[in-house]
Amino acid sequence: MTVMTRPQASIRDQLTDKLFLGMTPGEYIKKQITPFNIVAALILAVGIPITFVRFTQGLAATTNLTDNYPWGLWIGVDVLCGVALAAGGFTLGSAVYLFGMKEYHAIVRPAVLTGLLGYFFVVIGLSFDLGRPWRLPYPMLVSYGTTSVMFLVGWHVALYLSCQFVEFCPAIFEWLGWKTLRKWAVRVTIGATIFGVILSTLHQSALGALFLLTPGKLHPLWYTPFLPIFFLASAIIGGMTMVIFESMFSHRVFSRQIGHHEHENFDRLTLGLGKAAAAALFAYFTLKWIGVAHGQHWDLLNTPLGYWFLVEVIGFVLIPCFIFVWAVRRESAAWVRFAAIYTVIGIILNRVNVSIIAFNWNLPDRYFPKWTEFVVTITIITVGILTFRWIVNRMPVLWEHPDYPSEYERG
Amino acid sequence: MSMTRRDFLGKAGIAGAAALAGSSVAQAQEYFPGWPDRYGVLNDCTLCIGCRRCEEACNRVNGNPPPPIPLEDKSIFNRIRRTDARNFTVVNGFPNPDHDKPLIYVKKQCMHCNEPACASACLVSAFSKTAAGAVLYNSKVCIGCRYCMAACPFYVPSYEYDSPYTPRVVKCTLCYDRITRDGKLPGCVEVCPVEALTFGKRSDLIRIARERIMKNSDKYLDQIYGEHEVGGTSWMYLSPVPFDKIGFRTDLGVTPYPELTRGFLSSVPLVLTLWPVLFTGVYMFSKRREEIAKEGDKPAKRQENKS
Amino acid sequence: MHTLHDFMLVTKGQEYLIAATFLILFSIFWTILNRKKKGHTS
Repeated sequence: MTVMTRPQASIRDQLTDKLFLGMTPGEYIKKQITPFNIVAALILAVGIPITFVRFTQGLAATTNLTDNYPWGLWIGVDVLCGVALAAGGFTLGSAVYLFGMKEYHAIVRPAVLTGLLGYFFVVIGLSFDLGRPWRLPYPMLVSYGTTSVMFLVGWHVALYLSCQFVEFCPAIFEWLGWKTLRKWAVRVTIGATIFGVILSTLHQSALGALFLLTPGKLHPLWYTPFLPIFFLASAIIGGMTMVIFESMFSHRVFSRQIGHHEHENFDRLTLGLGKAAAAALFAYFTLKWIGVAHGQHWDLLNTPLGYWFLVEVIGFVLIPCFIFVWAVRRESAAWVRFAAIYTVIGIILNRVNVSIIAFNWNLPDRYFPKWTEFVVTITIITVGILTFRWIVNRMPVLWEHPDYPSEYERG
Repeated sequence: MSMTRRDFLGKAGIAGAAALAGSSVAQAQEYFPGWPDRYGVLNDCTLCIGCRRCEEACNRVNGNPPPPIPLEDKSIFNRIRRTDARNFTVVNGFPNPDHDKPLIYVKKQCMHCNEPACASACLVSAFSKTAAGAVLYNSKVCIGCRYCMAACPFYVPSYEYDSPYTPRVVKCTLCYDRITRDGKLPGCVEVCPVEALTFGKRSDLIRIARERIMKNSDKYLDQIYGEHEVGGTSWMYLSPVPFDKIGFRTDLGVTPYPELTRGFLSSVPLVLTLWPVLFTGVYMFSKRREEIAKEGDKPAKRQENKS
Repeated sequence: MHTLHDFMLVTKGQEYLIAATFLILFSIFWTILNRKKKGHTS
């Protein structure tokens, strides 16, 4: 399945190898006709025209946003969830490169790739939501709103994207066979990882800090000065559980790329991540209750939104925590994976609660996304998965490039 | 040119003395009284008759189409409206708790806060509190993120969602050009037939409001809305009844909104400075442990080879 | 500085600049700290 270029191959041969995996264009296209690809094509067939409508007719035509609800699905899910679930890059990067947990080395690269693509497609999603997306560079280059948490989010996401790209560069250069550049990229990995951890701490918590400016609008059970810490904690949880989730699919879909010993090792790594997730969920659960105590709104628990808060905190934080504990104790990687998916849903629920459901809780009018908003979100996720697959099928992400085996120690 | 030790000590001494002298004047706690001569508007809800001519004038002055519902149509008061992209002010009617009396009318528009949440939220600094008191928007830098709309506790800013290429955030401007350049009153104040709206320096308006309350204590609630709310606003209100009966939020507190994110923002440079050192330390520590573990294998291997 | 907003605009700007400068200087600082007299160690 994997093809390597001989150094003397012609440019055309190299292109064929790199782009068409060694097949002729005709052969390659025939291979693309799979059920998944047909579904993806259908999604794109709807998504691309809607994209055209969005950028020619504006937000009113393609969203249900109002003056009372300036933020909807694209911010609540595409941006807030996307960033939280792409946190695997910095979580695993720091585990392997900074804390020296080398046993996780095999899953660092897919995690970094998930992080890189996750943030990249968050920026794409954001471009759909912004009123003037071509002005996205303005807070970096034109006018500086230093009092704004959003200013930090913008800067950090931009810098972090570059950081994740640098961390992924070794894989790209190995694919292209550019040895000198690859050496440089490996040398700066540690620095990039440290920089990435700093940026991630800041922007994951900054996304929560955005809502510090909305005390009158966000329901008191969710509004707390601890919001930045909550978002950081749930992002770390989201990162780890997404890595479990993504590696589960990668190992099935790309199983031919992965060596036998990796398959054996894989369950052990899954269990390890499950253990970490359990501990983090337990701490996060406690933090949520500290937040309630701080605000002294215990009475609000006995209201419809109060019950919803309990659903989120007990149903989607405590219970997955218990499932992780149970699964780890009986060494069931399958149950760890189930708990991971469950947790990911819980994090999405939390972000949607903060930005949409518990937001404007005092107002009688509610917001529900237009179908076009769902289409755009699903399209972006689909393109993200397709990109992930394209890269993993070509670059040494799930396997080690034979030209560079001994350098797979740290740094 | 080199400095002798005596010169250096002398200069340092003077600098130190100056610093100490300066610090005796410095305050222990910051306090920002705001632009001293800033304007405001006092809206006396006991006088408003709900004619909505202010809406008409506002739309005319700002180049908006006339209010979509005609002024004569009193059924409009059956629901509570908010401002939108083509109506920077609206008048709502609220049932008077004293059932014999007519509706209480409340004109709603930008409050022109002393410390605006929109300005605090804006990542490109598109909003500014001017010396005249008006909070103005600069569409030249706005990227359309709409965080200002999420932040405003009064639900004031509106967005031109139907504009694909030049959508702007829009709201009342306190008729900035009219009051600073043309020496006129804001459109709404000028047109009000019962003088429910009074334009002037904010400090004067507070005095006027207190006088009214003192002279007619049975007619007014003893509170000026906007005097302290969210750190104070330029647009203030007097009411015959508690403000929460006429559509005002009374749970917004007195903390200016920039204070709400100040703590988090202050932690950012600390993380930017401490995290690199901390995580470099973690890296060095784990690298060292790895080296020790490797060295631990070597003597054992050497022993194996010997024996 | 009439408003807290203006104050924060200036102070936060300075704080971020100082911190960002530190990040750049720290990488240089660290490299120098680890450089042995004869030859380089990264």
